Amino acid sequence: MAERCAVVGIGQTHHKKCRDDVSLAGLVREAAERALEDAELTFRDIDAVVIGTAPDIFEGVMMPELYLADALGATGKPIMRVHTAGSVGGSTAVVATHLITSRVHPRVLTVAFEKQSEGDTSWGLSGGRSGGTGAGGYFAPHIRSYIERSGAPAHVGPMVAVKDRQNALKNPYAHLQLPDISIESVEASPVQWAPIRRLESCPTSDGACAMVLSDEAGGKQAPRKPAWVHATAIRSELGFFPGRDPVNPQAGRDCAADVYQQAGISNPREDFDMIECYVPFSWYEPMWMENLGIADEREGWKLTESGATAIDGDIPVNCSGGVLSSNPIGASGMLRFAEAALQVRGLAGEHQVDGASLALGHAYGGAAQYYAMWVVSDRMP
Amino acid sequence: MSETDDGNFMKQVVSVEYDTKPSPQQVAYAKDLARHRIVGQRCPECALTYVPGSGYCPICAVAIGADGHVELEARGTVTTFTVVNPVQYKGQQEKSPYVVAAILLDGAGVALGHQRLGEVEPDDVRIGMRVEVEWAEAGAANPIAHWGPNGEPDVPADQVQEHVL
Repeated sequence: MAERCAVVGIGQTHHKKCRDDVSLAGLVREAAERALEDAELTFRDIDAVVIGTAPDIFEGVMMPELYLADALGATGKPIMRVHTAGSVGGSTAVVATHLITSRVHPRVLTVAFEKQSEGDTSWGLSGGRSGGTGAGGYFAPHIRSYIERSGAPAHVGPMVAVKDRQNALKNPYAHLQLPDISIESVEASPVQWAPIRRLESCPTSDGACAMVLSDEAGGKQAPRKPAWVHATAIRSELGFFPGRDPVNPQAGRDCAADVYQQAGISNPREDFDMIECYVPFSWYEPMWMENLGIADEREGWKLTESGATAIDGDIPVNCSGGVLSSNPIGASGMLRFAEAALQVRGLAGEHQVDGASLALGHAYGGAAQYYAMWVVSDRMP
Repeated sequence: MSETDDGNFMKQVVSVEYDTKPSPQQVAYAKDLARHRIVGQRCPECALTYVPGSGYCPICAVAIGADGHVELEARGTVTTFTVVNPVQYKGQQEKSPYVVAAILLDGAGVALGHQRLGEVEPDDVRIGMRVEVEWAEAGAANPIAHWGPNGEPDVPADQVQEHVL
């Protein structure tokens, strides 16, 4: 049997438009030190470091893993970088988990980060050529197709945009703090990539997230309640092939089915106490609810509209404020995983779901072609 | 790449210039396109027609030879679209909103993605709208200037909306 894996420490930065008070090294170290502090450990206690960030061209630093080893106390220790576009924060946590469950290392520090202020993502995505549409321009046609197919009313996207920003007000680490946001203000914001409005889009952020993962013995000795990892999975698919449905991608469905099977989940809508998933544009909430099997196909918007995904609903989604409130790209996936773990540890502060015991962390990336997920619980598997 | 040079940010110039070698399939497609011919490739097993083709069917994993080459009319249906309000990054020449669409050519099995629409107001674009090509002047880098409405009645949206890609 595989070794059990526990999340014993979680740390993150205060995500902002521009963290010009710290270097890239300072940014990752801030998150790592907070995770170690939570676990009451030091860099000396760590056996290996697994880091992840989005493509180098987004922040203009080539192979940052070489330069960051020192800041992360990894000198003389194994350090590796994971690379799966926007899902990388999730995939990085999965790789770190596997180093524990395979008994390669008893204690692993995993860190994901992005300093968007030092680069220009739109430039990076276009390769410097004119006519780049950015991620929003790529995903907007998929969103249009979802709305057309499902017949969802137009206010569902703005509802998600408002809900996640209201959740962010309860999260001191969240970048966007928009106390006055309303359906009306979202609808009045400029259309950036029709049908996506500016307030239905994620911000560009600087930030990092870190977790200390441990084997069973370390989990049992942890000073605070750990989150136990019950399942991990990664899936991918080609970005373009005939019959590919980017509205409800096969790789996402397969990834979800895998973690549900590993964790013994037969009814995800009933079994999960909360879900933290990667929603960079508002309409992805209903789309992912369908892809994750929480709602039937073309019915995801009804879940949002009914209030079920609100923090006081029966299946709260993105209680941290989500990607819509903070988007340090490389870290965004790990922040989802970390929020799921924080919730089952009961340490989510003002955005805590009472009694959360089983949670899903989800990340996606590339042309909606990479998926990473984990299921965590306060109960040992 | 920051526009500011105030001491907090040090300006660095990044230049990305490189040559990529197109595949023989891409070369053939481009040569045909320059002659205003759109040539797709039909899979001998599933009969789906790819535009452009890559010499094989990624679904059936079989080669598509010269006998599978088929010429298509430069006419099709909008399956989905967005109106891009261009972000002004360094090198961006686009200043005002424009429409990019996925277009399913008549007889094709997959839509052509990221095609520019012209001769139509963004608000008037619809899923199911019929369009045809407007060729660029001779010598243009892209032989396709844009696609515009051809006046035919719309195809019902539910017949094409599964072709997001």
